[in-house]
Amino acid sequence: MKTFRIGGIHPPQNKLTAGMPVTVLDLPRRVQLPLQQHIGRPAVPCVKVGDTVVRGQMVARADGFVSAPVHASISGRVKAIGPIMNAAGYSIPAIEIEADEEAHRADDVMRKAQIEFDTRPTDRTLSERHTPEELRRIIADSGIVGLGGAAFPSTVKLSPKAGHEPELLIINACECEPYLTCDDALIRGYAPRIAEGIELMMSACGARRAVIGIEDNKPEAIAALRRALDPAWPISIAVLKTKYPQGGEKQLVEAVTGRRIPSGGLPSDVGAVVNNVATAFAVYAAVLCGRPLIERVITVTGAAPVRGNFLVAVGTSISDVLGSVPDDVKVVVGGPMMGSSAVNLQAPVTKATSGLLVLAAGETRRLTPDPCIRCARCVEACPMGLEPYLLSTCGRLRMWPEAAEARVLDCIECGSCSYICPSSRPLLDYIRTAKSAVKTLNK
Amino acid sequence: MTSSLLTPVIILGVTGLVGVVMLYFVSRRFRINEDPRVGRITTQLPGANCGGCGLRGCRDLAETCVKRGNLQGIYCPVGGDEVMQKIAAILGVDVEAGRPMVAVLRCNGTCDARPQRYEYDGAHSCAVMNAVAVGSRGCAFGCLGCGDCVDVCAFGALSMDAATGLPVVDPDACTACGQCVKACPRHLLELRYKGPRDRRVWVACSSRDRGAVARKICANACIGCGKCARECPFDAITVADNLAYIDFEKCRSCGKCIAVCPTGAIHSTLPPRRPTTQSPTE
Repeated sequence: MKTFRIGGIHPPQNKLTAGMPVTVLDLPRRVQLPLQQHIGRPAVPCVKVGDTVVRGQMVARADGFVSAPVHASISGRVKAIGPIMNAAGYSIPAIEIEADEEAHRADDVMRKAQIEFDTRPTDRTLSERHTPEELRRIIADSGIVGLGGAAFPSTVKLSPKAGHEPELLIINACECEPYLTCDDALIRGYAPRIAEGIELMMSACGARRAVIGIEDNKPEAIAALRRALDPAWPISIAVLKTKYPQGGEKQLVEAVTGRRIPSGGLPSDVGAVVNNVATAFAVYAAVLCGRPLIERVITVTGAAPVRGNFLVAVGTSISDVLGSVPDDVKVVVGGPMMGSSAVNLQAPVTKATSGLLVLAAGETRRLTPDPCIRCARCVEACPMGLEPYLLSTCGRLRMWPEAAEARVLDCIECGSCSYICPSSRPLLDYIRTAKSAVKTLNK
Repeated sequence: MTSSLLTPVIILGVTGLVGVVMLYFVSRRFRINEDPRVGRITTQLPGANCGGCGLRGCRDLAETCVKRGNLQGIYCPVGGDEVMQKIAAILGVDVEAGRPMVAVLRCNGTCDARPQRYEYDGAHSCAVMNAVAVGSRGCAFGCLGCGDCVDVCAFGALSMDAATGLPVVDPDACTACGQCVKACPRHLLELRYKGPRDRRVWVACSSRDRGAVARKICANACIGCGKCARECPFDAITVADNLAYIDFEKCRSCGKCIAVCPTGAIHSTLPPRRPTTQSPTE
């Protein structure tokens, strides 16, 4: 079975919510929509305080090519446009929308119909109805960003330079992060729709073939995909050996194609483009149903009062999703490897939120770091072939040019080094510092 | 016996001679004509290579001022006027007296004013803590207390106060090299003029949160009320983004702003005021 060659780790999978279907979480009465939920320039509000907006209406437009618009995820009145506190506690600009009773009921009816439509079996839809330009415009206008976690505007990835069209579209369904099962649940529930989304993406970017990269720890999802895909279609499934961080773009390209992306390069350098499986579903919803990206599936797991895979409106506060949690737990936004802990539970779920992991007080404590014993296990674990102990030291001692020389910018921040370190050294913390310092210096 | 001694002597002597001749020509060929003043100036400089002058180190400063032939725009904050006078004498030019500067901390979020809200158990570094979240004290603008500034200070002018959890600047040891300014991820240290007779006044807060929010997080926060700006007779204080700032070019260290600040966010090195008839303690 295929996988990437260098490094990688096998953390306990803890997929507690693996068998659970996508559960629809009720729409909240109030949402906070940050203007920047993506990589690139923040969106610019196009509504005023007091305006009435309907669910799916654009409330902030994209500012330039590398940017994404934001849409209202509930109907109601714009209550405020201003700073809110994000999950890390920093203040970010956002649009706040409050629903009244009537709007709330109307939204509910509409949403039920939409979800019912998604689950209904359909004929294969022809993507030839739209030209690639039209498709890209719809994807851009629908605010679709990569739903794997980095939230890079999808239209940028799907707009290759003329003559450089990717030959292969790789769909990332690895979900290599422990605990998270949102992509798994989505595939099990909506595989035919995902197949339609993949086709639309292929015609948008001009790729002739598509491969769905999925780890072998999701047999049900693999079976669902097999059922949904006609063998005659140019879409195949690559079942990969479970290993973290297989869902990393560079690792996945290598696992699927055997080609390695050069340092500082992109998948397009080896003729591929990578998109998440949830993004494919969002593309289907946008193009064939005219629904912008206003809700996504997230995994609520760990010591949460109710675990599951929930369809949540973007902008719902974390506390609304979780319900009441004790004060001494740690809430991680994202998975345990790459997620960040939240200090503010009033912060909204964004397009980039793939999961909420609740860790009980005893589970989260970091061990006291011991001196490095030069065992080089971090070097073995690094999927990018870097020397984490060296990069970390450069970061701690502020040796930025040396860090740049040791290719700190190639680090994908997967955290394998910190995970494997027998001295529990905070390797990644310092590498991140070095990475951001080198990025600033290069500007 | 004579010949057995003579052979090695001759061999060594000839080898040595050849070496001398080679070295002579090599040294002539690869000679670098350096202005002797560069070396003299370098010996006058403190040799800390801190980069406080904005150049790459002490030798770079010496080379730059010899190359330019004047001292305009070049100032060694560590050596101060004394060293600059010596350099001026070597170069044979005049130098204006610089205004000595010192680092001040623009945060007063002590442990009492800002109780700990979250527990942080990551790497002991402000830069790391800042990247993860707002920090254990809940303020998005204030001191994180891991002492990155203390670590980078080459002159031992900074130390952490265990009682307040904030770094303390020793104004006598501080050379205004600016390393701490660069190291602080929240830009809380600022270089300001030492002021006449070491008197200086500054706003010890950097919070741009709205007044009510800032006050909720920290009892000592500047709430941007603007009382100080109205009180200032020299127009030195501006309030922008809910934060007052005292322009040290304009400030005359009269200290009137300190008395009106409702949160005690304005700090100074002025001697304590004599008690007036309207004492606030009544």
